This record gives sequence, C-alpha cells and structure tokens, in this order.
Amino acid sequence: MRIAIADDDPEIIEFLGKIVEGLGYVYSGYVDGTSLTNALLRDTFDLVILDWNMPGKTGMEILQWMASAVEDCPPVVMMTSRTAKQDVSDALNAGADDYITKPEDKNVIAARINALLRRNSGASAMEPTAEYGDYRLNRIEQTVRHGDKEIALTAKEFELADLMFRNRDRTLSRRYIMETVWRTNAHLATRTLDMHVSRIRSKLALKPENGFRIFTVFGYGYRLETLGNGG
Amino acid sequence: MKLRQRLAMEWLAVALLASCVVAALTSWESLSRLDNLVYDQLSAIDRPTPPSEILIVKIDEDSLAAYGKWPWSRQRHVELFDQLAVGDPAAIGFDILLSEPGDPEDDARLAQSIAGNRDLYLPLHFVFPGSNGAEYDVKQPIEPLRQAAAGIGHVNLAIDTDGVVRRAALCFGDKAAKEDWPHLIELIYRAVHRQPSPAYDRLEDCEKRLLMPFADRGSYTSVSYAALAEGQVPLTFLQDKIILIGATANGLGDQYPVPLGDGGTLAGVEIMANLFGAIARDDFVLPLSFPQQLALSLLPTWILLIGFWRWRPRTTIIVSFGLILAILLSSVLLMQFQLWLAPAAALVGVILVYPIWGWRRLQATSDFMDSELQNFHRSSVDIPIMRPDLGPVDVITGQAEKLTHAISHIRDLRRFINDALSNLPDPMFITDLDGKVKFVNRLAQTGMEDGAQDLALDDMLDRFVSPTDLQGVHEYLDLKNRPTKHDYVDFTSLDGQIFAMRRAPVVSDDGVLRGHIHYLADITEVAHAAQQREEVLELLSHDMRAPQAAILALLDGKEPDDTTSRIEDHARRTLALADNFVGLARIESSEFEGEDILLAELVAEANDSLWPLSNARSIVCELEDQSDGAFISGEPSSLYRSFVNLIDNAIKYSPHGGKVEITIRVTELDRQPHVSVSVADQGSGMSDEMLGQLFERFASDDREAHSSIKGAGLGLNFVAKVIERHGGHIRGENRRSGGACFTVVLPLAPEIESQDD
Repeated sequence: MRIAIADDDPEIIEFLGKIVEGLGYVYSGYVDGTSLTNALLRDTFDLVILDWNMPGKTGMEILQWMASAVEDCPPVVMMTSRTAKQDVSDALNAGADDYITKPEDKNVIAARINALLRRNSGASAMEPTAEYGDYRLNRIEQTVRHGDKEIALTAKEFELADLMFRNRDRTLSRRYIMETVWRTNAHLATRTLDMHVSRIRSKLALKPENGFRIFTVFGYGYRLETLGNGG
Repeated sequence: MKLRQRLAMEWLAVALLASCVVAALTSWESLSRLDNLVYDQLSAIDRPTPPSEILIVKIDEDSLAAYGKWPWSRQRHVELFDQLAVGDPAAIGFDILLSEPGDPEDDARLAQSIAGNRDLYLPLHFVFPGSNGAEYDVKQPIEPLRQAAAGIGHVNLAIDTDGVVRRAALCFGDKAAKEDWPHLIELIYRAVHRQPSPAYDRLEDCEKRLLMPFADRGSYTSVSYAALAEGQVPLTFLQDKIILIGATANGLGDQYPVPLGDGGTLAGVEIMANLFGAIARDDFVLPLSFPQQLALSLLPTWILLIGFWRWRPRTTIIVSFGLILAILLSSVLLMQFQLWLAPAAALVGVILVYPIWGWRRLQATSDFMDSELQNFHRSSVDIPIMRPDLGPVDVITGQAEKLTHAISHIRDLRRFINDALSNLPDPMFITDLDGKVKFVNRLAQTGMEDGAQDLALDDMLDRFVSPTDLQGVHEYLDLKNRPTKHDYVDFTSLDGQIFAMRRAPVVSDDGVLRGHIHYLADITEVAHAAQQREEVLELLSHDMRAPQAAILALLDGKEPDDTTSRIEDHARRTLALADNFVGLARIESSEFEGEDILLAELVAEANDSLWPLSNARSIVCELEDQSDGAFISGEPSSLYRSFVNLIDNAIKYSPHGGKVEITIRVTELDRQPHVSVSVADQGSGMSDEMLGQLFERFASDDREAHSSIKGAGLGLNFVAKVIERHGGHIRGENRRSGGACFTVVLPLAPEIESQDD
C-alpha cells in the first residue's frame, strides 16, 4: 500500500509516516499542495492524507481538483487543526472520505487509515458471523453476543449495529445510514436515527471500557471508533 | 359610517319627507286658504269687462220701498213679465224661487205671463240638508210655472271652504234622480246662441267646478225693479238684452262674499251676471288636474334637492328665493291661459326643504367631524408642536377650529416626517407597488444615482449592486414572508462598499399595502471588522493549534518521562484555551441556530471522549440517564464542548480512584419541561470566594487540581455563555457530602411527530 501525506509541517509528516510504516505500508510526504498534485498526476496511491491549510493549494481546492482530474480517485483523509463543525461537514460533503482533527492519538489515526484501506480493498465479505472485539454478531439469527451475554436487538437495531461494526473507524453520513438501513433517502426521521444510535450505545454498552466508542460528527453523521485492540 | 353614506341617507330622508309633505298638502288641499288668497290677488290683476247685453233688474231697497216688504204678491211679477214681453229681450233669468203654491188663480195668471215671454227661465234650488235625512231636497217651481217657463235651471252657488264664491257649477247633478241640471245661465246662453256653451261642452263631469273671473263691482248695467216696473226705462232699451232679475237689497239675504279683493259681497243675481260673462267669453279658469298640480308642486322641491348636491349653500338659498318667485310667476302666467296652479304646496315644499336639509347636513357633518377628530387625536403622533388655546365657542365653530388645528397638525407632521426622513443618517428609498422609486434620501452618498426618483427598482439595483450579489438581493426582495431572523440582505456595491438592506412594508391606516421602504446601512467598516475578527479566529483556530498538534506529534514517539509529560500537558492546555477562546468568540458573534439534539447521547460522548483521562487516574465516570430520550434544540459543538469542560473539571478535581456522577433527568422549570444534567465529583469542593465568581471570564480556579493540568481559565465562562445562549441555567455548588456539583438545565425541544420504525 502506498500512501501520500501532504502537510506543510514536516514534523506532522514524520509523525504520520511512522504510523503508516507501523502498519506496514510505505508513504511519500509533500509539504505543499502543488507538489502533491504533480505527484498525483504521475503516480498512483492507495490513500491520500491531506492537510487543510497548505501553501500553494488548500486542502479543499485539492479535493475539488482531484474529483475532476484524477482517475480512479483514491480515498482521502482530511487532516485539520480546525474544529468548527462547519469545516468538518464541508470537507466530508465535498468528497473527503474521512477527516481527522489534529491532534489525534496515533492508535486512532492508525485505525482510521486501516478502515479506509479495508473498504478500498473490498475485503469485507458478509460472513454469517463476525467478531469485533468482545462482540460477536450472528447475521443469520440477527443476534449480538457480548462476552457471554446475549443481547436482544430489533431488526433495524441489528442492521444499524452491523453496519457500524463493518465500517468501524469510518465516518458514515446520516444519509448513507438512512439509505442502507431504512432504505430511504428522505430527510424525515432524523430523531429516529438518533434514537436508534442511542439504543445501540446503551444496549451494546459501546463505551471506551469495552473498546468501542460512538462518535457523532455534528452536521454529518456517526463513527464507531475502536479503542485499544478493538480493530 | 362614512360621511358620504350618512349624507346620502339624510338626503334621501329629507327628500322623502319633503315629497310626502308636498303630496299630502296637494291632495288634501289643506292650504286652500293660502291658495285662495293668492288666487284672489292674482285674479285682480286682469278683471274682465262685462258683456253689454246683460241687464240686471235689481230688487233693491228702492223697489222694497216702492212695493212693500218681501215677498211680494205674484201679481207684482205678472205685471213686470207682461211689460218685459213687450220689450222683447233676448232672454230672461228670474232668480226668485217660486216653489210654494200660492192662490191658484194668481199662479195661473203668472204662468200665462211667463209663457208670454219668449225665453224666461226659472230657477230650481237644491236645499242642503234635505228633509227626512235626504242629502238635499230639490225645490222646483210649482207645476204651472214650470210648464210655462222656457226652462228650469239650477242657481246653486259653489261656495269655497272660506265661504267665498269663486267657482261656478255649470251643471248640478241630482244624484237621487240621476238627473243633471244645467245652470240657469247656461240655459240662457243656449237660448241666445242656440247651442250649449263651449265650457259646458268641455265638462267631462257634471260635478266639475270652474273658477270664474269677476268683473269689477257695479260694472254690469242694472236697473231697479221698481224703475222698470214704473216704466221709467224705455222698453226699447230691453231689446235683445239678457235680463237677470234678482234680489240685491241687503235685507233679502241673497248676498255672498266674492273674491273682489274688497272683502265685500255680491248679490246672487250679480254673480249670475258674472257667470254669463264667463260663459260668453269662455274665460273660466281651470284648476290643473291633480297629477299636474302634484308634479308642478314637487318640481321646485326636487330642483332644490338635486341642487343640494351641486351647489354651495349660498347658491342654494338664492335658488330657493328664485324658486318661490318662479312658482308665483308661473301661477300668474298660467292664469293668462285660464289655468290655475295652486302655489301653496310648492311654496311650502321649497320653504321647508332648505332648512331641514341645512340642519341634517350640519348635524351629519358635525358628527362626522367629531368622530374624525377623535380618531385623529387617538392616532396622532406626539411630536413637539404647539397647540393653540381654544376659547369657548359654539359647537360647529369649535369643530371647525379643531379641524383647522388638525390640518395644521398634519402639515406639521408632514414637515416633521420629511425633515426626519431627509435627515436620517442612513440612506433609504421608498418604492410603490409597481416597483417605482418614489422617495429617495441620501442615495447620492451611497453612489446610487441622484436621479433615482421614478426609476424602476430593478434598474436601480442593476446599476448599483455588484453582479455577484444581485441574485441574493432579488431573492430577498421576492420573499413574501420574511423570517424574523436575518431580515436583511448584505451586498457589495459596484464601487466596493458593503451595505445591509432591510425592506419594510408601507401600510395605510386601514391596513392596505402601499409600497415598501428600503433602508440601507453602510456596513463596510463593520464588515471589514468582522472579517478581521474572522481572520483572528482563523489564526487562533488553526495557526495556534497547529504547532501544539506538532508538539504532541513529536512527543508521541518519545519514551514518556516527567519532562515530556509536562510539555504534553502544556500543549494540551494551550489547545483547550484556544478552543474555548475561539468558541466564546464564535458564540458572541454568531446567531443561535438550534438543531435537534438527543442530549443523553451528547453527554455520553463527551464522557467517552474523556475516558483516557479518567481511566489513567482510575476515576469512574458513572452516567445515569433518566431523560427518556429527551431532545433539546441546541448547537451541538458548543454544547459538546461545554459538557467536556464540566466533566473534565470534575475529573481534574477528583481524587485518585474517585467517582464522577453524571445524571440526566427530565424536570420542570416555570411549568415548562426541561432536562437537567448534573456533574458531581468527590473532590474538596469550592471556596466561597470561588463560588461567587464561578462563571466569570478568567476566574482563577484556586482548587487543588489533582491533575497536573491547571484549568484553562475560560472553561466555565464558556459553559455559562453557551447554556445562557440555549435559554438554560447553570449553577455550581458544593455537595453536602463534599465535592462540587454543576447542574445545567436546558429547555426541552418541542415534540415532533415520532417516526419510529
């Protein structure tokens, strides 16, 4: 796997590079937007980690440029020091596959990179059962077992839980979740999704102690984060 | 009611009343005395000359002196009739009743004498009231005389209600016998002219009475009965004369008041002579038929009534007097054509209608002015304008003065508004409903054309607004219902200034939209300031965070020791400070935009995010959710940050291995549903000094922090601002069992329809 890292701060490139190498991948670092775009035209990458604020071209500009200029566009993770909710949802809505707010723990970054590459390699076939940390999902019976405890879920709750486990460490848009689980793209029922996520959190006890944490990306969607050895 | 409607109603009422009065007066002839008075005066203007063939033979005082007291013996008349027969007159009318039989021999002698005359007519009388309850008795001459006479005619007089004889009954109907009796004079006319008189021919009804003109008193040739009987008159004088014999002596009672203007009376025989004159000349005056009389009586009243709408009061009063004259004049004129228009009803109508209308109009106008002035005072704007002191006057004058005052008040007000508008510091313009610019103020200073007046709004905007913002401005102007928030539109003008434009409706007093008023505020400086502020926030948000992030990234690979962990703490503290500062700045500069938030989820996530911190110090954060899925309307980022701050604080001040209790529950505040979140720690609690200034900016937290990280200073201030912004409350206190407890209370979001699967 080849990963392009673009950041105006060499320290950050080095930091991210170590994480990537730790995962067994190789990386190329770029300190400005122009060199990254040149590289993207010449070279092929499996993932691009893109800083929002860079000399030459900003992350948003590169994102828009990639959508039109690069064939078979690799997934993009936006890195940003900005925290405004609007910035995050703007980036995701503009086509970024995920985003990471600096500073972030290296384990989290590693999990997020893995999640994107996992999806990209298409290696997530639907097995009858799946294990995520202490959680074991039985897709035929639609049951979840946590340790030795059987947890009863409704059909929709199971589908939602399954979707989030399969896409752990990835930010899913509300729209995507609604279309996948409820098979509707209507904007209605925003409270319904909130309520289901809340029920999964409490029923499955998805909290840091159990190695998982549900994270709301305000104005965009949800992410199930793995902590420690969850992935 | 509007003045117009009220006046129309009043007018209609007055018109109806006047018409009814005039019609009633006309049909009941209740004003006949007045009419007669006029008639008498008018008929005196042109008295006829009597026909020369009439000779009245008077039974006067001289005759009574000569032949003794009345009644005379019938023998006396025999002698006269024999004498007359020799004179060969054209006809003789004998106005003496001969209805009682006397000595049969005398009666026979009289009959013979009557027959000896060629055309001698005898009278018949209707006596009112009749005997035995009959309406009248018909008194005919006795049988032999009736046979002898050339004819019998009635001699009844038509006496008006005032007792004056003005009319003649050419025909008198004996209804009981169904027999019409022509007048004696009519019979004489027929005897002379061998045909009925034209007036009689024209009579469509026997009962019709005709007004007859009277010749001056004494203008008829007359001789005394005695003189004639004594042969003092040559018999040739009688040749072809029409001789009317009757009593004129006062004592004989055959005297009637006549309209000769002198109040005197005329003997019956003289009235008959006048009647003959009228028949011979055919100059009877005919009263107008009722419809004609009614129409002509109403006409002047209606001329005035219609004139009331058009003419000024002065014109109306002149016209009124003119109409009175015209009515009298038309009576005079019609008289020349032998027609009688009774003027009284018409005169009364004209005299009546003007004051009544004047009164009603004044009343209506007065009431209207009163109510309008009241309205005006109720709605008048208090501006510094002097009020003149009004002395005591009558009501109408008082109202007029008030009106004058009100008008001058309005004039002042208009001036005031004009001054106020043109001196407004900000440019504005007013458009009408067609989008035409009607009023401009200080547009020149904005760079908009001076000649913007009467320009179409769209054209003006095209010339003024930069093309990129034009769309937005049009969208704003096209909005029918404006949201209360953002009720303005920002745009950049072609020369680079930035304006905020606000549009407000211009509505008339009764609520009809008349146009729009557009206010422009030059916000160039404000906008630039906001932009600079945004740049500062950008700097803090990114450029200050980035180095801290780099420091943390650098440290991440190092073996942790005391120095690196302290560097890491400082970096994190700087990050938190920047976050809180930026957060504070943002909420102070932006408008609140709430969205549905499941509060328990948000608190749970805030708690989860702090797990590494609590876990590192073996602190348990226990979350108890009793909110039953309570939604609030809020800003997720700032709320999230607030709860992170609160829980972070609780962890910081908790002892190693301690417990932080987070409780979410539904509660009520001021009878409104709320949801409360309390965060309680088991630390040492807060000092009194600290409790007093908990949420102030840069309040120093003097508690002993167990974490090596000191508070960021802005944390609680930020929380307080955020909660206040959400319409909630926050309080901090020490628990009785020790430790601090912070409670946040937020209003519940309104329920929306549940869309559960």
